[in-house]
Amino acid sequence: MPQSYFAFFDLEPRFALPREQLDAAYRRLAAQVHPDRYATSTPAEQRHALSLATSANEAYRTLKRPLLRAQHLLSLRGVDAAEGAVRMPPEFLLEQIDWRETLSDAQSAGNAAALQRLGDLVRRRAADLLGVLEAHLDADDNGAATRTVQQMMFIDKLLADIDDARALLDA
Amino acid sequence: MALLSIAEPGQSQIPHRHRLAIGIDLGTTNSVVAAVRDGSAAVLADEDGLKLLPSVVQYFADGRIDVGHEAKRNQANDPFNTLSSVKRLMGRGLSDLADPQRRAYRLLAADGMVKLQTIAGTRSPVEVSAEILKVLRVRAEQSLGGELVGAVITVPAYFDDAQRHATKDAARLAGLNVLRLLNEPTAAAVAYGLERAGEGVFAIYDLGGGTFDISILRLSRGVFEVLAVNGDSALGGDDFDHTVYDWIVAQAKLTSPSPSDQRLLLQQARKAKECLSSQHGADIFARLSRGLPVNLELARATLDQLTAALVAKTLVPVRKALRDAELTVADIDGVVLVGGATRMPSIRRAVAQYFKREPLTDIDPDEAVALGAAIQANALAGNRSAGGDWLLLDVIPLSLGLETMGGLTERIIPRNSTLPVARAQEFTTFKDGQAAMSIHVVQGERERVADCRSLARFELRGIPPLVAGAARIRVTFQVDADGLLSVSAREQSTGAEANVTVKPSYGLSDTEIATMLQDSHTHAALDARLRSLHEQVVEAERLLVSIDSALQTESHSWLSNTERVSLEDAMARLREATQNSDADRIRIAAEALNQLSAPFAARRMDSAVSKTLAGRRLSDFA
Repeated sequence: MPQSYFAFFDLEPRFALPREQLDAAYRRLAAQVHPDRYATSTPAEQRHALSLATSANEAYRTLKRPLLRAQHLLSLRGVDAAEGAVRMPPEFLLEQIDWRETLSDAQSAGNAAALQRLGDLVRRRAADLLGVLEAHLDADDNGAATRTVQQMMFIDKLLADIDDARALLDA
Repeated sequence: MALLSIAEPGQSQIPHRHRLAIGIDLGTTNSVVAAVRDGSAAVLADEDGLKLLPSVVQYFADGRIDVGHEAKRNQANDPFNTLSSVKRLMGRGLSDLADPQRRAYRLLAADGMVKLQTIAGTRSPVEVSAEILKVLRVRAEQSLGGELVGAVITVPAYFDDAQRHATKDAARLAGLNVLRLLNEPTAAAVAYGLERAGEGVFAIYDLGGGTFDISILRLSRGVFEVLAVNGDSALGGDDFDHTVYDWIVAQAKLTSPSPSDQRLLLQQARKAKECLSSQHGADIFARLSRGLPVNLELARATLDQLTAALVAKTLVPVRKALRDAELTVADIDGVVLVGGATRMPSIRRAVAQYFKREPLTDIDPDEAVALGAAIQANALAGNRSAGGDWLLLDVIPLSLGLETMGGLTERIIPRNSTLPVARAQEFTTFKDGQAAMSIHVVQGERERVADCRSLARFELRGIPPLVAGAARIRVTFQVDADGLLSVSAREQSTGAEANVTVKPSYGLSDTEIATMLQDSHTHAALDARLRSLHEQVVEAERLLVSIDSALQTESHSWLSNTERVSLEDAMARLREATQNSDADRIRIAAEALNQLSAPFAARRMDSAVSKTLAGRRLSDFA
């Protein structure tokens, strides 16, 4: 059973997590375990602080990103969302292919505005999926949640590629 | 109250006694030392009241060394032995340097870092930097009137692991206990943030003599959270000087000027550039070694035109940093200018135009970094900090990765991860009974290993003999709060620790440091043996004080009586050893005490911190 990052911050293991609540919990803990607090302590305490602060940062990073948070929540329920057969609805796959084509067209034409439009569109879709994911997780439907997580991984990758394409145009 | 002592461990140690700590901005052009006195940070000036120490070191045949203003004046007379801008060579190999031919140094390719040939022998950039740090250390000791607990040394945010290691090594060589390596823009933000108590998202644009950093950070309720950094560790005011130098050479139709003349004209170029920050025209006059005069006039408009490409070059990292922070210009609440080169009107104009707001310049751009470092040093030393309780959360500037098949990089720790950070990666064997495996760690954003900086090659040995693919070796990469990497490895199926041999591609081994310490002390008044004894005693006292203070805080909750007795026994032995003049004995006694106290450290911290965590054991998460 993996360690619960929610418990680490003394938070309820739920998908809905207001950012301010997480930030406050992280800051409270970081203020106590950060190596800067132990600059004149014994080497052993410094090592221990380093490992606690490292865990705090990892926990924060995981809970901050909705996709990672969902994966962590599923792993606490014994489900590895990144493993196993991926079955996507055909309409989802068609949409992906469509978006990928738009991306490569915009890329070869050096069309920043088109990249921007595509990015906005995909981000809206990602926001919709988050709502779906939350409903599945709250209903303890781990199978449906896993399928949604897998779709979100596709979308995340696409968004990263769109950002990279924009970065290349800027540079 | 145990919790308080956990949050501020230094403070209960010696009540009412201010522990002396300094902040040092080790700059390309100038270096500055500052300290917190009477509750506020101030730059420490030399006997003549001068605050900036030119980062110039002159070596003489008789072993004498000049650092600072005098050396700076002698540059053109003795170019090969008067070393300036050495920061640009830190942690760098000969092949990394873009314009080695232009430098009037005698550079030697050496294993890892480049070396400099001087009349006093071969010197590494680390040793040259240590000379600058020594002068500042002595200045601080005299000015503050006591022994220093330690120092915070600043580094460009965009410095990689090798450059950071080199800086830390230089500080060790100079006899400084490094409390923390602090990123320069973060230091400046501390100076500004605590001064003005502002909240919001700030961009720190830091153009120094040899390096450029852009840092985006959020300041909220005493937490400085760096969101993204970017930069160019080979772009700075020096490059503007060289551009003006090239212009002078072209205008005066000079062909291959001598090293002395090069240095002289470079100085004139710098003077003209500095003059143009307040004037619209600058005269450039020099009499070259063969009596040939150079007499030119440079207009500000011409300078702007010549250096427009350099100014534009700084905006590329700015865009990248904003993108990494997932912010736009509209999200920025303030822009701070740091570094002497930001005095140039063309820079101020470009920054104001890009961010659509006037940048903040109310703290001297040459002093902000040292002041921030001093504030941080003061807090780390355990003194009540200015501005109450605050925390710095910094990031790693460049991604860490591993070499995989085909010379490609696999990213392990992405850039802009909050420090400290660790990631583990599992490896397996591809041959039956394979007992060793080599791993190549690189830093950088490029896909090809050849385009990244090679940090270290590790040899994993002692892998238990298993069939191919059965061994599972988990390699953990840990980056600490200084941004420095360490690596450990463990074979998962048998639990055997694999040996990790770290061979830094750059940076110095402990043996090299020891040799350098020896070398530097043959000329120094202090005998090397005495020096090492002194260091051991200071180290031992530091350890005794910190354990003492730990014992004073509710020790019954984390220590049994028997444990307490044996701990106090070991402390007594160490105290006794410090009375003798035997460095080895002190070291052994300190090591014994350290090992004995290690298991209690975790228990003590848990017992205090877990009070806020509803009784959970914090170590479960580590």
